[in-house]
Amino acid sequence: MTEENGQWHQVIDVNELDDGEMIGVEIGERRIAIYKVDGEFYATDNICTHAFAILSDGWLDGDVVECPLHGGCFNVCTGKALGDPVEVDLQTYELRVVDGILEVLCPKETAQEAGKTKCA
Amino acid sequence: MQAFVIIGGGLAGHKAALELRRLSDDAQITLLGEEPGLPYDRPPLTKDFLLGEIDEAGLTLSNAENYEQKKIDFRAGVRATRVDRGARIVATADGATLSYDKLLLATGSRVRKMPLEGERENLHYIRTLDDAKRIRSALGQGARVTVVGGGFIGLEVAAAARSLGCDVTVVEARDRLLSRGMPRLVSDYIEGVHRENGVDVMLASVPGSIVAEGPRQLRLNLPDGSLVSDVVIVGIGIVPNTELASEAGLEVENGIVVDAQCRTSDPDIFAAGEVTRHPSGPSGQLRRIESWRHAGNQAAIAAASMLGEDVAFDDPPYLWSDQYDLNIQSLGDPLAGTRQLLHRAAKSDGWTLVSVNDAMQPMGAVAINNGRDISMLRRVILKGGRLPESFVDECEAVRLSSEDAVG
Ligand SMILES: Cc1cc2nc3c(=O)[nH]c(=O)nc-3n(C[C@H](O)[C@H](O)[C@H](O)COP(=O)(O)OP(=O)(O)OC[C@H]3O[C@@H](n4cnc5c(N)ncnc54)[C@H](O)[C@@H]3O)c2cc1C
Ligand code: FES
Repeated sequence: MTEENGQWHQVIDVNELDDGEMIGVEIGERRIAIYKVDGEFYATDNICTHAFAILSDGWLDGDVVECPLHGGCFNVCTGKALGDPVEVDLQTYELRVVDGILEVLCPKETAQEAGKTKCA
Repeated sequence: MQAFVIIGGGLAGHKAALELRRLSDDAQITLLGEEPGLPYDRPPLTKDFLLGEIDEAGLTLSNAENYEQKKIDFRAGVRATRVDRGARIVATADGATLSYDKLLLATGSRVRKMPLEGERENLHYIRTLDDAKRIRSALGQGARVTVVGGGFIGLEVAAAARSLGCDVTVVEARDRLLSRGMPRLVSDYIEGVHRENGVDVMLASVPGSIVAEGPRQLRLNLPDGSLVSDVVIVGIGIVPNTELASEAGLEVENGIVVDAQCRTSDPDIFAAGEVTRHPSGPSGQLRRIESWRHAGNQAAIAAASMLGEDVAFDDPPYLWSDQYDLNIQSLGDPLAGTRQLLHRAAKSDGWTLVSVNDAMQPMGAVAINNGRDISMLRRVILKGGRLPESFVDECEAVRLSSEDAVG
């Protein structure tokens, strides 16, 4: 995704998330998880690729998020599925900080459907 | 080049084959599976597959379609009939003999059957894809379904059958559901959820004989009365497939006995998955564990061990079950310990029942829609640590039922 086919959305104040924490946000229909690992922010889809579970209800250990339903793990920086029972990687999203607000880059089609951003 | 033969094309056999290949480019790997087709995933059989939410193709275990490319000689529909330890060969039902340097037994389990004569078309067990297909076509809207056995499998079937609009009764011999391994509080809660969903739960009802009632129905005789239904599904436990091992003279005791390296009493024969009885927990007590995660993880350790790596399997017991919109996870031994603590989720109606010893070390836990606690507790249990104080402060003490204390 580039800035041409995507759109930046404000999600949270950078101070809202401490290191080692994660939060789920919704942009239109899209659910995104934002993580803070060693001072850096990362974003992935918030729905597990195995069955339906919200990853931000799971457990963040370093750069690995563990799904609350069956314990599948993903690397939050790369979205990579780390095995059993998850096989499919998570989509990751680009982030930037503008005036202390964290913004996430989402594809445009969602941006059009999108109402407002809200925190889950 | 070493020859590896794996008997059993379930999750454990499949995982071991992949792991052998990952660790060794030149290992010669043969995987024998008695069932037709590629190895598939069992947990969805009582869940999404019964509900029609995934199809057969969606059940195939990942990477099974890549056997050829990975040079894994997979033979479907081939049953191993004998292991000759002296000659180091495996004989198969199709008349072949395979030589091995290292052998893995991953033969899993089969269902325990009701003492009953003859087969009946509308009496079902659920273990294999074929079983699940037959049950799926029998669970029409309005069908009267009796589930015998209030364990995880029976309850998952009951939940799926209710969701499909069947009229469901669960018959359990003990005085509570999930009596094996679950604390009373959990049993009572799950019973409540099934009743709310319209399941008729009959406890302390030891099933008697099953007889045909007319051409299409079955009558299940019970101590005080009987139940007529269109379909009976029995889930009263499983039996490990240990015959090959015992006939070969390996140590077998309610499962093939292995050490933490997955070695049997013969150093060239290993076993993994549900068929094993292996050291578990800090005491090293031998346990046979029926769990998806266990079968896969233990198989990966077995593969490394067969290649001579210094590894050990030490996962605490763990399983999950999905029923209606409940996710139940059990970790460690929820019946061990001296006290139980109840931890409620901050933002949802999920909760976790943690059993602790006098030193506040968690021994086991059951979480209902609260997997986050399990992730944390697994790490604490693996380290042999204590519950974080902040967590304890958030807990309520619960009265330990005398039954749980005995377990
Ligand atoms: C319906 C169902 C739902 C489940 N749900 C859950 C769940 O929600 N959560 C959970 O944690 N666990 C669940 N489980 C348990 C989990 O699926 C099992 O623990 C796991 O499948 C065990 O894998 P395994 O490879 O050890 O054994 P199996 O899956 O039993 O595989 C063994 C294979 O070996 C074959 N075999 C046996 N003998 C021979 C021979 N002589 N020659 C050749 N092949 C042979 C068998 O045919 C079988 O295919 C469920 C199980 C079932 C049946
Ligand atoms: S839904 Fe995430 S691991 Fe199953």
